[in-house]
Amino acid sequence: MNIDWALVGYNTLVVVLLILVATGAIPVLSGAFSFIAIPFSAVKNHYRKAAPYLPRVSIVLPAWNEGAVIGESIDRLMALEYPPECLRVYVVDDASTDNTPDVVLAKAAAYPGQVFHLRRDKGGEGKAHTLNHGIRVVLQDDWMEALLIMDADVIYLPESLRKMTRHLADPKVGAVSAYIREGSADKNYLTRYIGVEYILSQPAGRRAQNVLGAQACLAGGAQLHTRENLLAIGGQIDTTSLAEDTITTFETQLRGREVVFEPLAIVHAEEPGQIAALWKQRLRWARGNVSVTAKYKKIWFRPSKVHKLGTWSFGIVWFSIWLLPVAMVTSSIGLLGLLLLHSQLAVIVFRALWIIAAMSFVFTLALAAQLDRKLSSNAWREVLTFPGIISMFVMLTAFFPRLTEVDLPGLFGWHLTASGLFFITLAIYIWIPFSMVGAWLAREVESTWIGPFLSPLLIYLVGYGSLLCAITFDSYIKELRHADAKWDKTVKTGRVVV
Amino acid sequence: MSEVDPRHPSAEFIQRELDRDRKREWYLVPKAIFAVVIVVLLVVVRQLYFA
Repeated sequence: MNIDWALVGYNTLVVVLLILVATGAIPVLSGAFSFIAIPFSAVKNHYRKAAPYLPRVSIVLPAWNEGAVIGESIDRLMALEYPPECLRVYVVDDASTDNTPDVVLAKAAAYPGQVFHLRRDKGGEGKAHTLNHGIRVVLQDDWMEALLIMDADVIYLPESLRKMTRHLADPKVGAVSAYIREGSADKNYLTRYIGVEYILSQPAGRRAQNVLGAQACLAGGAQLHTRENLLAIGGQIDTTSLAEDTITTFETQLRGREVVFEPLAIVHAEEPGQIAALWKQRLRWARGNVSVTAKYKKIWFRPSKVHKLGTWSFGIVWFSIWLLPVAMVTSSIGLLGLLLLHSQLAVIVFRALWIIAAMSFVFTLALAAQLDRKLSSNAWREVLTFPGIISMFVMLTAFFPRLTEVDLPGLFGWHLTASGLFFITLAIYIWIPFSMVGAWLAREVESTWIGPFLSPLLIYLVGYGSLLCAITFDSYIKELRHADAKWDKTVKTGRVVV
Repeated sequence: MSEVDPRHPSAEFIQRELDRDRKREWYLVPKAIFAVVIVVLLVVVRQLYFA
């Protein structure tokens, strides 16, 4: 028997390239799968196990140079629709050098027995250290039944705490998280994109995680723990990682306690209006997730009777987000390889991949936009361009090939030659990795004279998703280089409004 | 506890709010159907005009 080794090699190469292309479909399908779970929240939610419950809540509020915002934050906490005799606020002043101590001490005098000023003489060690200082104090007596961890700049809507505590009536629940909603007064293109991202990740994504039974992360600015849960996870927050919120979430669930996301408990937060600040914040989160992935390497894809962090559905969702930049690159390499091999498969696979992406994009954004209509209507441009205008063109090319290859050029009297079509196809196939370069460029030019115009334009063109992927990619590089992982506080200026 | 004092919500008030919020989750079904309909419309347009 004669074996045509050239043919075998060719076919093997095609199969390898197909597998590479398929890696790009995994995050897309994973996202669609999560969103398909959302309507099942109608029948699978925690409300039936919740009950009226108003425990004594200690609020630990870390503060470093928050003089501009801390006073109003305390006033709003004291005005929550919650029995004031069941509320105590502990402001942990992380060696502030501004007027934070004066503001907090004035509030402590205004709300005697309810507001407390705790001072750390050595600051700058990170949020977890600051929180632990406050947690040690509240655990010294038996008053506290539930602990609320929040940020100094966030604003809780009046009913939000009450909507969170009702879930703690179920003894199986260890912690509850709220919906952190972008609430800057002076919104720009970036804060609107963040607002859309937060709809996708919280009332959409975390609601889906409620249905699937495992939560990836409690919001750092709004996490409510039972005293029992806090003690069970060691009575303190992990200080070894940049992802202390995620570790707290995992530790809670690993001990068999549920973590519930409450979409109707709304907390407004100020988010970065500059790419550089967002990059710094998200790089911290992304690097934290790298360490979380390694720390819990023994739980992935290993179903357990105690928790659901080891389910395949949760694992695929977790790794799809974490490895999205890798999938984007490998998928493009696969498509490029198929194109260069002149395989007819290239066109078929490209269309299949991008049609799936287009359908998933339309479904997820159409559903998410309805979950927070007010925010979505104010950010309709960002909703429509979330994947980027160029990626939308790529989707159009896959979905309606005649439109972009014949009809649109025909409007200008153009006719694409075979080589012209090849180069356009080539550009489309390798676009996704380059979109991350575009996002990086948007950050680089931001502080130049042309930045105020060019940075938003670039982000609209390449997409906010590509910006997040570029940051995740940067986190891989930083981790591989073992770059210094210090805790950088995101600067807040008191721009948040209700 | 008084029903009208927002700082001291009664158990009945919280239970009503809870029941209302639980029912609100059912609105997710038509919202998801609406999103699916938009996707189906896209597919129909593709099949009718660009197939």
